Amino acid sequence: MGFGTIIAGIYFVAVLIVSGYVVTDTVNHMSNTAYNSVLTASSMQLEKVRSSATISGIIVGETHIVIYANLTNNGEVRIVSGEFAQIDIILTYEDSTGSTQTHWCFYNSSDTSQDRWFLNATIHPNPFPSIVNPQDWDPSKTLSITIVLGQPSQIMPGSIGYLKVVLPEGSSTAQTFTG
Amino acid sequence: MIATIIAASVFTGAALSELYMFENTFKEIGTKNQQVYESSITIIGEAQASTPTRIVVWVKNVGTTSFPISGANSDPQYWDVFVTFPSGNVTKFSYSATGCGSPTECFSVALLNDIGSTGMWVTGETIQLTIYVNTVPTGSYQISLSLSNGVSAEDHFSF
Repeated sequence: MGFGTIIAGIYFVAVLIVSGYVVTDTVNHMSNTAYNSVLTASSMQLEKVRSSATISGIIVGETHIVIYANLTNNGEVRIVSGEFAQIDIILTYEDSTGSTQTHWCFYNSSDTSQDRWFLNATIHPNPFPSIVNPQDWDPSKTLSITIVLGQPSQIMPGSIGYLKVVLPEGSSTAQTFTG
Repeated sequence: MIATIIAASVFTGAALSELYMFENTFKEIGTKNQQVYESSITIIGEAQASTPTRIVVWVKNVGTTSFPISGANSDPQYWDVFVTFPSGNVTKFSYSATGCGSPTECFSVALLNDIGSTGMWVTGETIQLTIYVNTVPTGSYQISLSLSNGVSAEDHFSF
């Protein structure tokens, strides 16, 4: 056996070792990404299943452009104040001309443009009660909200409307109301 | 002897190169699969509007993957939007960032609650998909939206 054969053998063993490392590292990487993916997907689904809310006490204001509603968190997930902007409010109603209007409303207490919602400032504390995490919407707490429509989009008195609320995790609830 | 060493070196180099290519390919596949697994969207509402005639669809990002909505690398240009009309006809709509010219049927996308004004459609945020159509006949509809990574959402609704 010549010196060249020994060198070739060393190279071969080196290739085998590196191959083993590469295959192991690849399998390890793929296992980790698959594990993390399943974990994240499961966690997201779990959060969605555990989050829930109900709508009650919908009142249409005298001007027919303002709606008041109470949202109760009857799930198991806390929605912190920073996530309120991720709550979707979709309002369907009949306007003063008899046309059906559907509006997505954004969370904003300072903007005075149409189709927005914010915490009702006349209710203290809001969310209620404030015994823990006074700024956040914990399970069993109630959020009193005000929805403001655009002036040309008045709700026709006596007509039936539909309020849908979608929580940040994607679960939703809806309630009809009379204009 | 020299020939043997050269041959072994060439073989080793080629083998290692292929191995690293194999590793990178599988890692890339793993990363892409992870992105798909962690992507999730849900259609939360639909409406019709006139002047111009259009169907408005609201879609919420409930996954952990972010999608660029504006800029040169915007994601919507790669999206597939299919609408099944009450007649049973299925139409695929093309993306237009600025609205429709000709043909008059297309879709545009607007990020509604862009927290931090990032231009990215991130978890919890909602986009408005505006589908410009010629008519909105009364009846049942089905919409299907597929994103660039293959994640999709479907919904049935009626007007």
